[in-house]
Amino acid sequence: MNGMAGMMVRGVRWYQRTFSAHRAVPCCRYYPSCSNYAIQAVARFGALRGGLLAVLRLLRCRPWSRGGIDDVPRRFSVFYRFRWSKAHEEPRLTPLPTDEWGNPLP
Amino acid sequence: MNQNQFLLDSGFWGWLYKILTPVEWLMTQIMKVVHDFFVILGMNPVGVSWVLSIIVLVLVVHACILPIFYKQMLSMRKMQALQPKMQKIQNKYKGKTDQASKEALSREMMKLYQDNDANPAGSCLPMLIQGPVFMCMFYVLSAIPYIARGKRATLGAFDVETAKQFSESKVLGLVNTTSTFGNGDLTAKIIIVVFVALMCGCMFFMQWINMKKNMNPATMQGQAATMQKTMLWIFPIMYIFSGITMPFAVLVYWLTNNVCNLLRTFWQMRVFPTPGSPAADAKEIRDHEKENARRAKAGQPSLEDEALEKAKVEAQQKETQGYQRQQPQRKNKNKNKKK
Repeated sequence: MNGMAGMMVRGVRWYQRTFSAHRAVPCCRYYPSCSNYAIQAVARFGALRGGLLAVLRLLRCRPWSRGGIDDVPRRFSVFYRFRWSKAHEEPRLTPLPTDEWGNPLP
Repeated sequence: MNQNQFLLDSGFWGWLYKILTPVEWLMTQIMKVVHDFFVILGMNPVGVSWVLSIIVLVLVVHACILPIFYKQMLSMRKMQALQPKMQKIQNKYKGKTDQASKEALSREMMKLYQDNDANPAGSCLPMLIQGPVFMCMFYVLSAIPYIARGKRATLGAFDVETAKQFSESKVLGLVNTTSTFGNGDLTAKIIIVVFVALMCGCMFFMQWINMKKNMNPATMQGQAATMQKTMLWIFPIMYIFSGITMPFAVLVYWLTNNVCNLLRTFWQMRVFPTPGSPAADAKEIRDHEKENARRAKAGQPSLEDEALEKAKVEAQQKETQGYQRQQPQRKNKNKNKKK
């Protein structure tokens, strides 16, 4: 993780600590929540591409969207939500196996 | 304050407001149309008609947001219907505290919501929309004096003439729509203070009643409760500081907005209270009484009478058939024996 991505992750963590941790009601239509998604995306794809995925995710969080399970794709593509995309993944009910640092195994 | 240059047009904010121009344009058009309508009705083109047009603008914005809220509440109702299934999933992961089980639990819950088109969470968008809309309103209303003096280009329906009309408008013949706490005379100052106080009161009351009546006491514990209580004070205090710097027209917008929010909260508490909250209990009692009234009208026994009757029949059955439960019997018992 380079400096920019590290800063973004720290920023999101700060947001989680100060604001979202104390809310009385859950506030995200998706799983993982937008902030966790942003952290994962930035960690996986770097500040620019991960940040883009995170922004798109925030824009997807609309009243008339259905929400649900929406993981960061293993392969970068902004179209990964579409079925025709090579990066498309079916929603997973069980988390992916991870190595000891929490990164997904290839 | 610099009277010759509109400061909001420079720097980062200028860039932001440039992007929001379509919204500003639409707002000015709505205000102008409403104003013209009131003039047709025989009102003075300079004066209260402009204030009324601001109020109508708020109502229009709220009418646009209301369907979103309505949908959110319907979704909450669906959630209640899903309760048994949710219980089932929760039982499946009962007593498991490791990270993987927790994540699997959340994922299964989310899947359930998705499959049933229900979601407990609202979304960030209504909040994200309301911010820029208010900013546009603030921008337009602050820009009008500058347009009237010819220091800024015209904006949407507000050409120099219209802007002049607007900035000469007085509410109740006392306070100018463009005066702020800083540059108004004493009456203007007093009225502005009253408006800010009303705004704070509205906001505080809305949050307070929401916390008191429309929240499940089980969720209001520890840090969540502290956060809520801090919020209760933070927003009204922020209003005091920002309220005295804003032109009176913005305060009119703001107060109307808060009153609308308050009314919506009341409606929400009455029709779609949060499950487990005092408001929900009140609604249950109300529904119960309503059902009894309907039955009384239709000549049917009330809910209590019906329950009593049922209990009596059950007691009688116990008397006649004993306390032993009747064993269930397979329906095709005899048929199988013959085979």
